[in-house]
Amino acid sequence: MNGKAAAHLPHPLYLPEILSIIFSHLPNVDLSQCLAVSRLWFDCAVQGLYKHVRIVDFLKVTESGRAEGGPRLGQFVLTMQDAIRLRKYAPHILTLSCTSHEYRNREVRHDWKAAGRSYALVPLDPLDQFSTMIRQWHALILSDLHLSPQPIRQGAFPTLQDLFPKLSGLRGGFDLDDDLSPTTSLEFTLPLDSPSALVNGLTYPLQAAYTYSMERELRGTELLLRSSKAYANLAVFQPYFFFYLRQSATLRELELAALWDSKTDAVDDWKAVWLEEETVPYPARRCALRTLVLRCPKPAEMFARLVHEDMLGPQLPELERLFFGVENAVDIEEWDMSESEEEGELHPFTIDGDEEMSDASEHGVEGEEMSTEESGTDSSDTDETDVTTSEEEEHHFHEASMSGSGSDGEGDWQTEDEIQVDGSDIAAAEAMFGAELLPGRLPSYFEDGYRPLVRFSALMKDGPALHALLEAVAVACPALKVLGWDGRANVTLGRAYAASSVEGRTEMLEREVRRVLETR
Amino acid sequence: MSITLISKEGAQFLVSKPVADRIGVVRDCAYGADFWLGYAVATDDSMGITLANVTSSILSKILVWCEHYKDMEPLVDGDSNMEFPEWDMAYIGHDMNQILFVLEAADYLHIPGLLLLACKGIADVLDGRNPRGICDLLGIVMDFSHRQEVDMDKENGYWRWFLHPT
Repeated sequence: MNGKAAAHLPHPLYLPEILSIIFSHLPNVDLSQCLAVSRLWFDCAVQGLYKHVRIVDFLKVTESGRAEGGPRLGQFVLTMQDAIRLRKYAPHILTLSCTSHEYRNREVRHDWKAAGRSYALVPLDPLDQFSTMIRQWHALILSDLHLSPQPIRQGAFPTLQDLFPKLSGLRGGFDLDDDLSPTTSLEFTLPLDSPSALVNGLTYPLQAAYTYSMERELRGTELLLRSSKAYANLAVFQPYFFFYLRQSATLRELELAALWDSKTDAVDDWKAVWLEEETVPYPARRCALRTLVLRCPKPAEMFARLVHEDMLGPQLPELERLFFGVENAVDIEEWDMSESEEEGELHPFTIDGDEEMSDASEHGVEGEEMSTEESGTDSSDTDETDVTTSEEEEHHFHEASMSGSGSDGEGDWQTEDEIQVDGSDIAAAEAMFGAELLPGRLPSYFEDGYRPLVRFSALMKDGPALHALLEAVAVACPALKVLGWDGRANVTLGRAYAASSVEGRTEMLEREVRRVLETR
Repeated sequence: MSITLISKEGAQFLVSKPVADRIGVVRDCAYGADFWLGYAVATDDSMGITLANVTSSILSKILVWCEHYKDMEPLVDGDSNMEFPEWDMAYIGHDMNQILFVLEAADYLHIPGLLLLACKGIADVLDGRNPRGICDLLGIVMDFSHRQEVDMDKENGYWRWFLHPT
């Protein structure tokens, strides 16, 4: 190769392959700076920056999403410029996520309303914003097809694949029980093998994740049944959680933080439970659960219950990895339970000294039902409500909450979520919630507060308990390959384990576990 | 067996086989010549392999890395969470010009481990710089208009919120 050829070699920083390697070493903060260096750098950096993005972050691409403290109720408006921006970033997204903590703002608003205060200080839910954004983006694309990331046929409705061509999964969370939502939640990973197959596009599964009673069936079937990974935090026993779990054909990994007392919550007649929860007791499907992580104070007792044929029993024969731990995924102490225990419910955002709490919370339930109905209306109706004044809103709020239904005038009809009171007293909000608990700064148990599985070894030094547990494991999990505990100790099992009888498997498990326990 | 490498300036470097094996181009020239017509065949010490795009100073620096990794496997894949050995980070340093030359040579010579290390070095130097600072440092022409630049700063400003929460 001569010198002339060398002169034509491209500079390495103009090679996308090299840039991709460099950007893989940069944190998101620096990647965001690299976006603006040049068009080539933008093309390379945006793929890393927007690969896995939280919905709440993605929405900040738009003007409304960047509103101070988040957009208020009914104020999310997507402009043409925003649609151009979305077209720029959306094609690079592989997964979108919204954890259960992010959409709990909705419940915060209920408490604000219950307290008779200005809950318009609280920004819109990320999921509310997202569904609003999708609706408005659809409308804009229909008016100008060039606003779609992917070419769309004239007259065709933009599909999910048109808006997010690379989207392959959703990650989110929802509450399993409305009354006990703060301590009973499920985080899921939903692979989108065929995005266009979803009925209403992206908004549908995510809305189903947090809507209430009407959607209970939906969220079970559409989320839990389609998830490949689920992280459940059950503070109380939830029979229908296992009901849906038994129906899943896709679940491969389950992490279960079970806090309930396995004795007091024992179910004698499961058939009666199914009949009570659902009209038709569906039979269990074959679910190839491969990984189970169990966090609970009494793992031996809990596992013995879980192997019941009406709980996880049918899903365990193909289990390959089983991990035990005592520390829970959720630290209940983080939530303020002092007031809620007196009120008979658990809630992270209790309001001190509020006399109207109980009355207004009843209205909140009625208002929520209205909100569910209203969510099916056109987005144009929602936009028209933006111009109402605070007094009108207060009036509508009381009217709606007291009567339990909307007024006759369609244009004036407001759901409780759309009622807003003009106010910007952030200091008052901070005084009430504490700065660290203001929406947008909520911690996520599953990201920030994750605790290792520890203290299991100490419990298992008790011989009978260990034997009982390992016997139950050997019976329920003939295909086990790895048994782990305390986040550090693992026992790897070979083919001899699978080929042995139940007694042989129990003996092998006990021998290996004791060996590791003694070694440590 | 040893192989003579000839730099752009004509300087000769006699390297052992394990060291030369780290350099993909040299490996191909020395052992894969039967399959690649037009390459010089190094059959004995007397034949040299000319590396026309690599200066003597950079070649000697690269050979230090190859010498260090002649008996062990370097990292060839990684992400932002991966930690490189201290020796690697000390080797690559923070001199951007030097790193760029090493990167260019590693790319030309097909040395994946060194390429990854050079990319990590560049990433470390870029850390904390704004777009204009990056352009000035690397001599890149910013092809966005001022308005586009401001717009992009707004769109992605939230990524910096974690650094400067208000």
